[in-house]
Amino acid sequence: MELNKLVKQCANNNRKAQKEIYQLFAGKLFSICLKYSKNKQEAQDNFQDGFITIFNKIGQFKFKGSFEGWIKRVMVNTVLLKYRSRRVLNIVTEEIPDEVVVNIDDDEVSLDFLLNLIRELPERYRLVFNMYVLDGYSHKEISKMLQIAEGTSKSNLARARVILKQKIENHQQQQQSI
Amino acid sequence: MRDNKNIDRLFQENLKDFEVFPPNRIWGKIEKNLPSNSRKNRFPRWFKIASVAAMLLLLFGIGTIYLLPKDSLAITFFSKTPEKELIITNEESIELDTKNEVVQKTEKKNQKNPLKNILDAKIKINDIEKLADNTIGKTNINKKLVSQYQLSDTKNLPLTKTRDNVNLKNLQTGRFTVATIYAPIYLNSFGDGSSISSQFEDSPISGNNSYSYGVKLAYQLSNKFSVQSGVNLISLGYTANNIYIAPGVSAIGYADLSSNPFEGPSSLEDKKGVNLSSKTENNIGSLNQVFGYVEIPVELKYNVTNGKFGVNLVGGFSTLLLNRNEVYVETNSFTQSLGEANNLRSINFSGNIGIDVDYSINKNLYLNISPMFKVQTNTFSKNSGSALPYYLGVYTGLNYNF
Repeated sequence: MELNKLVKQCANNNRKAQKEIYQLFAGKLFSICLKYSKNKQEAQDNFQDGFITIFNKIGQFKFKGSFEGWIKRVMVNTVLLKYRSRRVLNIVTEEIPDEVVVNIDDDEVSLDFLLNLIRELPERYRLVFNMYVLDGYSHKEISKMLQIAEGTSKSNLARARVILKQKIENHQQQQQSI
Repeated sequence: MRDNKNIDRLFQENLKDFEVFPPNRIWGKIEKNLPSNSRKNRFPRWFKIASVAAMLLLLFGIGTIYLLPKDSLAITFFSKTPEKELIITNEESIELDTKNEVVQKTEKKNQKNPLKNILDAKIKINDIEKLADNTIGKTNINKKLVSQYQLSDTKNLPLTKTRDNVNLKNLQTGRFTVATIYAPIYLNSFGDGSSISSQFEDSPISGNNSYSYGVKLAYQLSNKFSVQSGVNLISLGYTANNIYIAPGVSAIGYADLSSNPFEGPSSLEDKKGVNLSSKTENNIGSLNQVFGYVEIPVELKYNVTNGKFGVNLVGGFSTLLLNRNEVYVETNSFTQSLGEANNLRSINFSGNIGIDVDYSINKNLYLNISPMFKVQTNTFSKNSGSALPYYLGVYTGLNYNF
């Protein structure tokens, strides 16, 4: 397969192949960084670091499972590594709502608006929300990757949902009052 | 129209196809951080080892040309080492490549025609051994199989097997050590007499204390022996005391000084003023000579005791390349440069002997302190009196083993 050949060439530090891989995945990986990082500047820094890590470790890819999955995981891990070390003050959770619903019309919110909401979340909430909701990691995986307890991951996610809901509702009120 | 919507789904649906390309300049930044060339960086470790080996070879070359008799200990030791390394790499690669194949082959052959030819018979014996030595780990058996299979033609089995073991043992410990060196130097001389001029032969000579610093590189030859080399900068100084300074006389030229300082603009008078002409004890001064060398030692180290504290005996020689040369007179009231001494040889040697005590901090790092006694030979080309300079240096260093 073409992609496997490229990956092998990358492992031999073939510059042309590296650029091709970069162009194939830059869009997907940069959007991960935009979601996981606090702002655009940090997203760019993380993206750069992540891609360097990817090329340094590409020889470790064993051609089991999809390459895209692997490359995304490396990128996510690079970002996590940066934020994991910063400790978050854990707020004691009162009750954990299982599902949070918001009364909204799909046209009411834009992608940029939602992306900004995610970025404004406290660090850990942002990471957990991204991993669980958008990238499909389980609480078990998250707890391993972030080195936190599974319960912490769950409560972080619940808090994130509540904050997001509040922010969306605040936004709706502002729109109505205009 | 507004709906009640699960907040997870809201985000999932909206961000499903979210894809943004990074600014173009970022690729340039990434590229800068990638290894520059595939060929160059493929064997960085090899390059390091090769360059170290080349340096050692060079130093030994210099040493043997100048000093060592042809079949000295060091040479015989050194000539053995490359051979050993070759064996290691060969056997390792063969082992890696053929390990699996061989095992598969032997198994297959056994199934098909068990007792057909000699080779198969041997393999069978191996298999029996394998069964008998159940306690030995799988890898050990494989290794044994490999070596026996390979050598079934040449029948050299026991020899290579033992060699293999020895090599593996050696591989486990780091053979190279780099160290930083700092040493205070206590300098003196056998015999009396200044090297500047035979005129001062009766003057008492004292050495000035000084220091030396540099880097050291050691390579372990065997459990007991290692060779070490390196580059040190050292500056030495001698003082001939009780020399009468006669400022008025300008015509004396010392044979072994490049310039004739007393002829020049009489700076002596400037500094001394009127008092100069009257003979006082102020005119007794000292003649100082300072010279510096780049020292390249080649030494053989013999390990006496091991453990947390290791004691070693060190012997060898140094090649000294002159890089600083200055002579000046000094009295209580002034200092005057006399230019260079021109009887110093640009290359000379010293014989070194000493002990080395090391203290290991962890597996790879240790401190050492090594009092060394070094006697210089052929320092001066002529007029050196009976001076045979020697110095005692307490060489301390931080060593890294890899």
